[in-house]
Amino acid sequence: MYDYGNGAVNGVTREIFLNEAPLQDDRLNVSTNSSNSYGMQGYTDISFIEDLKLTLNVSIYNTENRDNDASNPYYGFDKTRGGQVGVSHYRTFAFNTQQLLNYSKAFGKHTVSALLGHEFTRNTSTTLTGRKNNIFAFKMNTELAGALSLVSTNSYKNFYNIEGFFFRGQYDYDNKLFASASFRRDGSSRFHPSHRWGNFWSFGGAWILTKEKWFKPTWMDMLKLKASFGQQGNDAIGDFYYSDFYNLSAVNGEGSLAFSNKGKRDITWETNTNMNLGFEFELFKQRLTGSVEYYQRKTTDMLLWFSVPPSLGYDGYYDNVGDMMNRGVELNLDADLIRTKAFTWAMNFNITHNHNNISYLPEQNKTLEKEGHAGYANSSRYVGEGLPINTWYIKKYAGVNEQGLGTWYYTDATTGDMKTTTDYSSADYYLGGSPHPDVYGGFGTSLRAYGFDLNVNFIYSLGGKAYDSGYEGMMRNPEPSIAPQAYHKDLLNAWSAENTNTTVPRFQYGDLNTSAFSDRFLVDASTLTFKSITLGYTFPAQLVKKLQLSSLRLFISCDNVAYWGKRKGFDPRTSLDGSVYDNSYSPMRTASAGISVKF
Amino acid sequence: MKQFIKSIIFLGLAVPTLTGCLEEVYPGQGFTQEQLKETDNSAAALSKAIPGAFLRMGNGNGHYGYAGLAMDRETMGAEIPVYSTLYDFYQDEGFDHQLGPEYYVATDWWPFYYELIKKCNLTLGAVPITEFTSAEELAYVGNALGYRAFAYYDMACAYEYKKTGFTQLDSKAEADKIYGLTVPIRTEFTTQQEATKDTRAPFYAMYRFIMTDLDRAEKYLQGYKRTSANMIDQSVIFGMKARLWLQMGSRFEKSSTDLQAQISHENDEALAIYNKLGITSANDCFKKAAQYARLAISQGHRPTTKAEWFNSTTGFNTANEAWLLAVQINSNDMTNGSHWNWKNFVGNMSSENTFGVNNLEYKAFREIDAALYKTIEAGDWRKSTWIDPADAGKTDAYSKYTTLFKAAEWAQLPAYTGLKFHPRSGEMKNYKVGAAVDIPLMRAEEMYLIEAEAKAHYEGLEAGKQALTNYLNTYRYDDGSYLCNATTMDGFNDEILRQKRIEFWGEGIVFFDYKRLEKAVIRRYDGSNHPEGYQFNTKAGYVAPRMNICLSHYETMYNENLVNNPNPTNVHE
Repeated sequence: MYDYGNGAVNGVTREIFLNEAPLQDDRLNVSTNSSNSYGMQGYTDISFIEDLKLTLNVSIYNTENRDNDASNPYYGFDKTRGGQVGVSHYRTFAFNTQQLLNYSKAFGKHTVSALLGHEFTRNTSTTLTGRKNNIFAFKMNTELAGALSLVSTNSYKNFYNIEGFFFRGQYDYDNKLFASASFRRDGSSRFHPSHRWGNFWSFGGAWILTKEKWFKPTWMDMLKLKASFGQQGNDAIGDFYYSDFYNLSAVNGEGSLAFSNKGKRDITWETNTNMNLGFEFELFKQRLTGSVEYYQRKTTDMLLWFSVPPSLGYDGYYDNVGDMMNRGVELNLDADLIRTKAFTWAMNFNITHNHNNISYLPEQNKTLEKEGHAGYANSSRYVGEGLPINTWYIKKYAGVNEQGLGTWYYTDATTGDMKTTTDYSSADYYLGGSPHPDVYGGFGTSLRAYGFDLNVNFIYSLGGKAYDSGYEGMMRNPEPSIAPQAYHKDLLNAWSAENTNTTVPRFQYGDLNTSAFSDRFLVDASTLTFKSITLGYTFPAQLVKKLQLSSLRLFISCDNVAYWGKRKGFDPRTSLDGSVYDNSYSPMRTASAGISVKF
Repeated sequence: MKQFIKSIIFLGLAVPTLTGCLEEVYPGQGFTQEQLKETDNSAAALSKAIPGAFLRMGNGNGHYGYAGLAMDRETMGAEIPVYSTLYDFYQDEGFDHQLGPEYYVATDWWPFYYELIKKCNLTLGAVPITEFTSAEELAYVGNALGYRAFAYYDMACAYEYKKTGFTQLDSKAEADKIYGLTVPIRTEFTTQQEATKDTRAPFYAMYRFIMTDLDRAEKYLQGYKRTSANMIDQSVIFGMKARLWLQMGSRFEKSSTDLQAQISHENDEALAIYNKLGITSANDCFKKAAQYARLAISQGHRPTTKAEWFNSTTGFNTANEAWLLAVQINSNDMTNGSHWNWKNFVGNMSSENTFGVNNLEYKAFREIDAALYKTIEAGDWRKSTWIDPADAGKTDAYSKYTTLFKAAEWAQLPAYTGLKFHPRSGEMKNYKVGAAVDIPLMRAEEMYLIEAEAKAHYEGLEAGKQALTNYLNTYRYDDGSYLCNATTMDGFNDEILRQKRIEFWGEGIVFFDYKRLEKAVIRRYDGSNHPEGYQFNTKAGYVAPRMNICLSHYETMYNENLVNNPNPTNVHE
């Protein structure tokens, strides 16, 4: 017997969650999903003329899902409609085929190879759904046939095609000088026919200096210089954004085509152009190895949602809004500190510094100017020339005033001064910083002694600003229209006549703005993660031979051991753009143990 | 030979893998612009999308199409006090909170109207007007223009800031220079660039813009016979003109500066695309209001009869000749996943349902203002629409009332509960049938009241009183006992407002009259049936602060030239 809070049990009604009893629903209601998938690949290699090979690949991958959910007609909210049953079926079928022509020949110290190819992909997805009310005999039939009143049915198919032509050439001289070049032309059904093709180039080379005869230093075991330049295309937006879109629906039984989305005809591929320059080295008899790389990744014709005033009848549309630049340096180091027969100790360290900014926006997309950067606003983000992408566009909190009320900044239109106001709606928006870290990377160490091995790894990220929505929710003041909830203990530090030195406004029932969206809840997104630790023992060879095995190792390990962030419960690692919610799952801590046996 | 056979087999296997040409794909759901051009009768389908826009769901719990916005307007007054606030979706209007630009009233109203306007503009853009345009296509244009005028009328009245008597708001409005400003105008010719730069249109431009649309619609709908009550015909245009002229009449009578402003801008170059109004005084406007009201009536509309009013299966849920314009909901219009099962008009305004919150389970009963009820005379047959406190809970009084309930259930309803609205076909359980109702947007009764009010201005108070008395005694009183006792114009205005509050209970109409006549909203008085937390009185001679709607902050965020109204949240005595 569960209490639905409607007075049926003991005459007492419950103020919140009226007509709900989740535990009962969990026991009675049905929710199932059955799925299957299969994939097949096939290929043929046909060698005809010497050094020339034709490869034909084909692959298909099919997944199907059938959902069935039914809510019981006995209790709760669904009682009045006799319970409801819904069934859905989804299928995605991916078909890919490639035709590749390979040529490879060695002329003395020169090796040349070339590849010419064509690729085609088609994804088809189909959906079928049905929903009915009034389940006749819930315990016996929870399919559509067991219910009486039709609610809705629907079905549709979606397609996506990509076709590509490509060429790649490679050359190496004596295994110490390498060069390659490639070209790719891709067309996507996501763009209008007159804008659907994109061309992408790349070329690169590497030179292993240590293999040159004139290279003298003996302490340098290996030095390789490498450089590359390449482009890729990105079309990862939904379908049909190149055209205005209309929904078909019934209005009083007659057909109507209701405008739904705005399209932009000339949207096309977003191009990423990467340039890498770097070197790899091994020093001191491989005691110290590593690589340093400088990279520059420019995204041109960035596909981004451009917001417009809603008085136009739509919110915005996808457009190739501009160019973005990512520039950075990456350093990787591995050092074997101690290397003896019985004992080895190594450490590794890597660090990356990336600088991101939007390098160009076309004139028509510059509708605002903030702090010297022209651009446009997209909800809580500002897309501005010279600023990192996803820069925060947020109201600035100015602390509490003498009455304990929260205040925010606004800029006086006549004098240009920043002033404070207690009216959240009239506060202005300002730039709030970038969610991207200044540096990130990892470090770790490994030890090996007397058959035991220990590996420890950490990951770190320093810098960036993320929004702590969980904390914001727990710092709000109670009000009539929200259900009771948990509150953060920082509310105990709220302003009062005795406690005036605080940033937490006075605790006031019904004040909706105490925890309004502002930079009060923007937190430093630095984290340190203890990523993994593994301890193992390899049994000595003689012992193992007696067991007719070639090796035997025991190990225990733990992944995602712990992390440290700026506030307990705040995990900025769950989001790339700094939007952190308290219901996003952090990577789970898993512990495992095992035996590895080789025969 | 073997080699040859092998080659054939390989080629045979290889050939299917050689396919692959980028094929044209079409959407699985919906239509692209190009497909639209190739569809037969796309103008008709685009035109049908306009009344469909009246069903647009908003984010707020109380926003289910136009009816939800009408409920917002009702609850901003003192019209439909709720019995229990627990499931009241209109607490914002009750407590006077969350009325700022970031909250649902601001952010749901704005896109509702502008998406409706976009659909009108699309239809206007799709039908070129030449000498070969068929009568049917002209009717689509007329319909689109009429609905566009309807949307702009609503917005012009709702968003224009009127004095509230609270200095913190009035002086901010003064400093921000927003007096007399309405909303930006969007037509089929407005470009995206213009939309990010333009400003709120001043009242004198807005009135002419709306009137021009109505003039054109009147012409194109000449002779058009509509097939359903959600399509606009000439009588609706007359009705809208009557409303607009009445707004202008009241405004110019109160403020001669506004009248001068209107007249002085009559010959502006920039406004030459709009028709001139051709008036010189407030009475000119009142004359036209009465004239058009009478024209609307003469097109075959008459007041709701007593039998129609008190019908428990068709009362106020089925359009008839009393209704000039309606929202019409069909079972299939209620798409799944949009919460139509509990977010609907019937579930909020009629207690005879199990799928909403206005019922015996959730107890969000809607009542009439107790003070208003007490003024309803015994001879007015509309009185038994609401439960008399003397009859509440008594099963022997049950037979006086029209309801789908049986006596025992009816007796559980509290005093003042309204029994005006009913689910379709008496269906109380299945929302797909019960909530698929017609909702009135404009009724003939309003035309009679506009005529009477207007006459009082240009023909004299006695003429107005006579018109009102005749109308009520003919159509609303069984015993001819109505007598209008007003001695001043202001008293007469109060009486007209009182009649509108009784007649249009739950229809969202009187908001426009409160704002036009600058009447106070009174919820706190001895014997009030408004919830304790909602009992605020606004200032006499001024508009209630909550009735000056804020522009959506999504609009002001993308257009720096738009200045918002001051936020009325928590502004009360």
